[in-house]
Amino acid sequence: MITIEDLDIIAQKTKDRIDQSPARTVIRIATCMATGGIAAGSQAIMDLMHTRFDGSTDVEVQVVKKGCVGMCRLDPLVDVLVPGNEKVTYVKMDKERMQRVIEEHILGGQVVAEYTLHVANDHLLNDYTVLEA
Amino acid sequence: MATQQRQIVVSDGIDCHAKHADKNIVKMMRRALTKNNLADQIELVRAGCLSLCEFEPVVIVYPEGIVYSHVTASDVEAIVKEHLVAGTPVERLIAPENELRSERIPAIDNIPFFKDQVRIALRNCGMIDPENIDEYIAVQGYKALAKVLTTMTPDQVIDEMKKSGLRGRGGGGFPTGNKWEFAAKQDNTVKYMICNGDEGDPGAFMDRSVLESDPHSVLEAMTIGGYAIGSHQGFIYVRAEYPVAVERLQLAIEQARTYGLLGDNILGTGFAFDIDIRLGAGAFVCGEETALINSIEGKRGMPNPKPPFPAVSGLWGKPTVINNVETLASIPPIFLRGADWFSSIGTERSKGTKVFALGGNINHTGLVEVPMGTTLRQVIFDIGGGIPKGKKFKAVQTGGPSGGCITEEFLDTPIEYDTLIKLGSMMGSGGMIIMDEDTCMVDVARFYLDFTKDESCGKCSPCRIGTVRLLEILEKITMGKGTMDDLDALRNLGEQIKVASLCGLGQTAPNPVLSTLNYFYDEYVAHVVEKRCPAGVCKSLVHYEIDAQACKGCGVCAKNCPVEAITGEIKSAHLIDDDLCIRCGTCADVCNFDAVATH
Repeated sequence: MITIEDLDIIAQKTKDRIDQSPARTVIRIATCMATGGIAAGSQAIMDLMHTRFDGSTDVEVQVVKKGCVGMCRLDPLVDVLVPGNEKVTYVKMDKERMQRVIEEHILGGQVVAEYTLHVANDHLLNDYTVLEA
Repeated sequence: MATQQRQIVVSDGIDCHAKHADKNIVKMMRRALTKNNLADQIELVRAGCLSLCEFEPVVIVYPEGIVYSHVTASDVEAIVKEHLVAGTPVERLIAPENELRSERIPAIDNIPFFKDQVRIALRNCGMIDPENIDEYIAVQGYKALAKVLTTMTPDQVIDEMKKSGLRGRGGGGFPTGNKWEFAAKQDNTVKYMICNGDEGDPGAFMDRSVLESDPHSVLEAMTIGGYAIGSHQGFIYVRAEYPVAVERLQLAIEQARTYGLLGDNILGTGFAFDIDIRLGAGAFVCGEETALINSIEGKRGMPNPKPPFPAVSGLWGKPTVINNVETLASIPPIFLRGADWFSSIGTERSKGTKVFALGGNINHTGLVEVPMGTTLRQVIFDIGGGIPKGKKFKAVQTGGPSGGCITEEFLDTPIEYDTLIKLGSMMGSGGMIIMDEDTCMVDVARFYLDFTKDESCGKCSPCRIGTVRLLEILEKITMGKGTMDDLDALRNLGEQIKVASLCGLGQTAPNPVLSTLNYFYDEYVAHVVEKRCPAGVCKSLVHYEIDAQACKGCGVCAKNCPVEAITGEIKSAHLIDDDLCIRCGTCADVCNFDAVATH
């Protein structure tokens, strides 16, 4: 059983984990795993990352589930938080796209801009419906 | 497949109002790519409406994200040669900055969708890992509980709640502090605290989102409530159709028990409280307090007359408080930041924020949380991004099957419990279905009645029989067999169901009919008198006709008609036999010359 003091200790210890700012010290990849995300296929992304970051890589990465921010139509959403950098949210992700984000952004340090939000006159351009490939 | 380094998105305005747009841009682009041997390396996507109607046809080249607007046939060649082959964007074709602002946004929080929101109930949703109690603790989780248990008496807790002005977010809008006070005043050693997670409104999913994304905030708030009213046992009633929510709640309860945040001696203060989950089978009526209680007791989910109110005699006859998920999720911040902070947000009679689930004909479907008093227009147009495909707004349905439709002229109404009721609708649980000009309001009323008719538990006759009769009349009208007397009957019957029904389900079920009758009477009259559905939705009233001038006599429609209702010689105008036609719309879909019209 924990005491009130323990609450502060736990909070202190976990502060860095949830830090959304560049001040954090460990890489965090948070994938939307609420119903909207799961329905759009986020489980495959989680599986990929668990395989990729199974502890055998040199890089320390927190692979976590996150809840719903309310933008379900852009699911699966993946937040990539790299120490020293602003948070990057990737939208409409899948396994192949995630593969690229892992290599280029998480390991290579280069943001994959085309998977981020693209806005023109306040309209989200990632949000189009594909009529034919 | 080799990784395609580039993607081109073309929106040619084919399904929107950009009539001037050249619809052949995609074909030309494909030809140009093949000619330049780029077809394998570039993914060409033909997009639906980008809501950039005035700029279409639009060509976007990724990864740069360069937007070319008003693209013509000769521009396609230039884009391929100069940009894709030579690698230099065609400056002269890029829309000027002040006309078309285009940018990449790495952090999702900076888009208009989030800028105007104030997140209290959803504060942790999408920020923390819902399966990790430590992360919840790191965002000041269980701190409100610690403060309540160590520095406040139950009476003080209730006073703080009353001062905050928080009202139930599940539909009723009853002040939460008062509810707690009634239960606290009951002299009984056994009391219960229930979380109502039986979210049944079609189109509402905020409770699901909170339970899946931040389950600990609900557990913490229930424990605070338990302390305030003198309860030691809580139940979360959640529908079995929410498996992810149930799984995360179970995990959260186990974690909280391990930490001693639920159990006999919470945080060493001696206060005991535990929570169990009860699964509902998804009956809409079980969102009603007394029906919910019956369901937890193992009985059929049917309401009882009130009084006695659950706060006096609820679960197993004991004093019981039932709070909705969103209400509970708003409680910890009230104790962390104070009732004054909370009551400073919102309006005089509606404090704090409300979560809305935007759905229907709106660009940004999803969940938004805004301060009470925000106008409908701000929610629908500023945050929700307006109506897709350049269509006109027609109405917004708030409050789900219990609510009503609100029209354009009332869009500047601030959202409050009382203002929405005045407009013949209600806040409800916060579902907002937005409808565009192509929506038939009679059909909308029919849809909701079909739902409430199914969900009526059958205990009282006004609701059981009344909703069926209402639906029958509505169906008659949509079939073109209605009379003007039917419209009066709808109104009379609706009013009587409202006053005579036992519970909230029946008392509100006629609202969609009454409010559409009120605001869209003309549309009802068109169905009844002219036998016409102005929106072209009601199948029986729609007639398909081939425009002899536009028809080239290709025969595609006749070939595709499933009931062989179309006749005609090749190369001469075809004809639809209205008696045989089943109004499936296939002919209109397959016609290459837009020659099939409906009226």
